Amino acid sequence: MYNLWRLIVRHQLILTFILCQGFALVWFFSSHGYPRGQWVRASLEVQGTWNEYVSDMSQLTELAHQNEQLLLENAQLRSELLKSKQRNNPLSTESKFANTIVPTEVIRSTAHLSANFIIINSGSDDGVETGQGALHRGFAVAKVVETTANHALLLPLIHTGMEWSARLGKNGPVGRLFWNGKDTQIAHLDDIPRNFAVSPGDTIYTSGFQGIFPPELTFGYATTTAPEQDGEFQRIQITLGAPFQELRYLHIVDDQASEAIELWMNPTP
Amino acid sequence: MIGSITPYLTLLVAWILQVFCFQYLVMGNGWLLPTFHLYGLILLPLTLSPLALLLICGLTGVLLDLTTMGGGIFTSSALLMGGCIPAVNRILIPREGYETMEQGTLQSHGFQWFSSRALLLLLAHNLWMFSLEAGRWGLMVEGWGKALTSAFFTWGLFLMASYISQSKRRKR
Repeated sequence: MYNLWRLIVRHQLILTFILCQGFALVWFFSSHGYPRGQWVRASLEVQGTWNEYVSDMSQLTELAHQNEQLLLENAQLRSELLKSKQRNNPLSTESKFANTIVPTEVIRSTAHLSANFIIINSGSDDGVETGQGALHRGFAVAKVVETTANHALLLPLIHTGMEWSARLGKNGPVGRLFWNGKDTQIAHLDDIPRNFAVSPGDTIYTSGFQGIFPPELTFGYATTTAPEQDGEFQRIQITLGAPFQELRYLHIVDDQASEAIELWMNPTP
Repeated sequence: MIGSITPYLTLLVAWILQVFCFQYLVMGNGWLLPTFHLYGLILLPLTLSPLALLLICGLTGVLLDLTTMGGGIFTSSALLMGGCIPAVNRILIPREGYETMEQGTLQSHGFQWFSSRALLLLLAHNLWMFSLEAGRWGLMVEGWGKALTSAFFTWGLFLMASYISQSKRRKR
């Protein structure tokens, strides 16, 4: 026992280093891909408050108030549009599309990391919940992963740890959309059958399968680059619709259908 | 031995500047990413025990991660740098050795010594941090490029901070 103690004392530096580095790496790997939990909420509060202050300062010279009014009006119009879309759909008897739209402002976003994030100045008090999707001028951009009362953390399409369900054209096959960590405007769509012809400019829509976004919202457009072949499937390069380096205002949408599906999948006894 | 409070105040100011100012100063799509809190760490007393250095570096990283959504990346990188500081100090030790509680400032050791030490430590910190951040081999080379350019960028900030503090002392 004494010898063990002497060994520990003799190598205290390297042992402390290994212990602390182990803690740091566990923290990093457990939170890097999908940051959730108490520390994220605490960090969101600190970051959110400060970033809101910074954002307010930078907006002093701009027409911030008018922007907010326009944003609210825009959100109402989008909400009406989606509802009328639902009414025109003969297959639906009740709401299948998003009916909650929260206009919000980005107070911090990164586009230079492999695991980028967005912080918005709306939280659970405003109706923002985890699992909801975010739109920028009608383009799907991010998913809410954590909320506090007044702020929320979103993971955007440009996050190497995320995959999104996307459809090629309105009636085409569904594939996995992902970002490879390089160009912030370029993503890739995998698992599209080789026999399916792809033309430059084809629209890539949300499939609605993940319960984040309602179906038929736009992710981006197929580019002119020749698709990469991989066995029976092809990989398509996509130009994303939203400008991730200059996101300012977003709309948070709630896919009602996903809640109903959750209920069907997890029935209460 | 803790000694004078000045190095710890410098660390506090550098940390505050990083949290409230420099974290927003990312330029060139991530190719110029400042890590100014390290200025406080490299100015810790040269004769501070390696264990104390390691713990102070770790604590600085933890606090930075908690306030900037770092998720452990700054803690891990700062710990690595904390482990490298004694080794770099030994490599660059002057013939007469270090004085007790002496800081490794530009004023006391000159441009060449300060720059060599700062760049070596910044490179160690940044290479580790950007490799972790890249997360996959395909992004690693670009990450190392960013580590290099960001190290030089931060070194430039260190020089500016050193000259500013030097000119203030002269005025007094």
